[in-house]
Amino acid sequence: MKEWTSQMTKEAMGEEQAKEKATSSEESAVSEKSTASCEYLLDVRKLLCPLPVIRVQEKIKSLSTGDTLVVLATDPGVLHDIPAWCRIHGHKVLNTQQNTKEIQIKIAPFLHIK
Amino acid sequence: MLAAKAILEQGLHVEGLNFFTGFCVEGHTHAIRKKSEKKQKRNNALWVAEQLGIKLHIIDIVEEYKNIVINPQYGYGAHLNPCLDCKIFMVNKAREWMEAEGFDFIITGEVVGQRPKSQRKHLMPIIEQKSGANDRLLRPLSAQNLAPTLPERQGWVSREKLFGFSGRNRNPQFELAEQYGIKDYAQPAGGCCFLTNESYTTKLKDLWQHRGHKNYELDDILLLKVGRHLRPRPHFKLIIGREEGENNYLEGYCANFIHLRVKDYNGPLTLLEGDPKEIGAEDLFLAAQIVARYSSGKDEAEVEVYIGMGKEEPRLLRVSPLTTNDIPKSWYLT
Repeated sequence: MKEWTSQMTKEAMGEEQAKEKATSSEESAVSEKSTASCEYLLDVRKLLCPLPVIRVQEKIKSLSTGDTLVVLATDPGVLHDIPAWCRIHGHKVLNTQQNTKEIQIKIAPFLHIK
Repeated sequence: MLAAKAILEQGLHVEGLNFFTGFCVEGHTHAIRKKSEKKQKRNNALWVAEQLGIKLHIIDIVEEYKNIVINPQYGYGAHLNPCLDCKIFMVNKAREWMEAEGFDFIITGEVVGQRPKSQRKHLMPIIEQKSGANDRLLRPLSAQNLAPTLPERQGWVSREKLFGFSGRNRNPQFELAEQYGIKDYAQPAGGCCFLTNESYTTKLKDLWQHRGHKNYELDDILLLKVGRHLRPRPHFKLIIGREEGENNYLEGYCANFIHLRVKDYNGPLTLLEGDPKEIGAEDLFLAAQIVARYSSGKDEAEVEVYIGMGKEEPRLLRVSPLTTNDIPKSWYLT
């Protein structure tokens, strides 16, 4: 085997993306809009369809009236799937933002009173 | 879609269940591959639910489903498809959901004789019995070929308004779709599972054989959908991105795999799968030569290949690209 001759940059090998992956699928409350409601962040970056929808479906069950959920994703499929899932369940997509790498979808859940 | 529509037409409330096993053909593959960018990235189950105006619940069964794939009681079909066990498992999950959510019965789109494994008439009773659904499992498209179920006997649905389809001929279903005004539908042949795919299951068998066991993680089975897979040596395999979308997807795994990429030439990102403790210098050299063959520098006398290994600083290796003839066909897992 020939000897190693030099080193590459971390960026070239995608370390930034590796870091992103390490922190993906985490969720947290990012801001408190009032004493009664929160805006939650659901990070589903790197997950592919239908996992982002499944994670949204699971998270929304834990929300309260007035809460909002911000979904951070990378799979372009969420641009169709999450709004479609919201429509059939009565949840409202408040806005969608997309840059070259990421998609952000803000949802106001419709919660059944049991 | 047709089964649900037939019950909706009788004025009943229907909600859909869609099970995610990790082996689904739709979704991941289209999302990963750049060349599929123009293909509409829709989840067909969601799309169907919206067309029908019903709710859809997508259920993650990846973990529980492993036992179905690894130890199917009724065996595999032509490839690694445990269709009968799979159907029993899913109907059982639907029964549990039905009971928890206060629904009365389950419907499926099964048609007697349509599929060689799970839809043969003498095997279909096994599904209702083993799943525990018993006579609360109604197949609206074939109901008239089967014994009346509880919903029919109770008059919740009219048996006369159900159907007696059988066999592999799908023309009756196409005609019914037209009658309902349904012009667009997905997967009319029902082929939505990679476990029925010869190329995919060749790779899954290889994975099991070389690990010495059948256990798997979700990432294992997702990676089998991506890239060109070559096993040049028994103790390691290469997953070579075939296009930009696949390279981007494979980037997400670089932290956990030895990975290679050619310097100064366009080419694939490649993951090396194997126990790092067993990977020697000669293995890395061979892997780099193979990766170089798939780069635009393949005709050069030598190219340099980056090799990253876990948290270690990536290194650069100078190699001669292999030629097509240097790579035996037996290395390709297809």
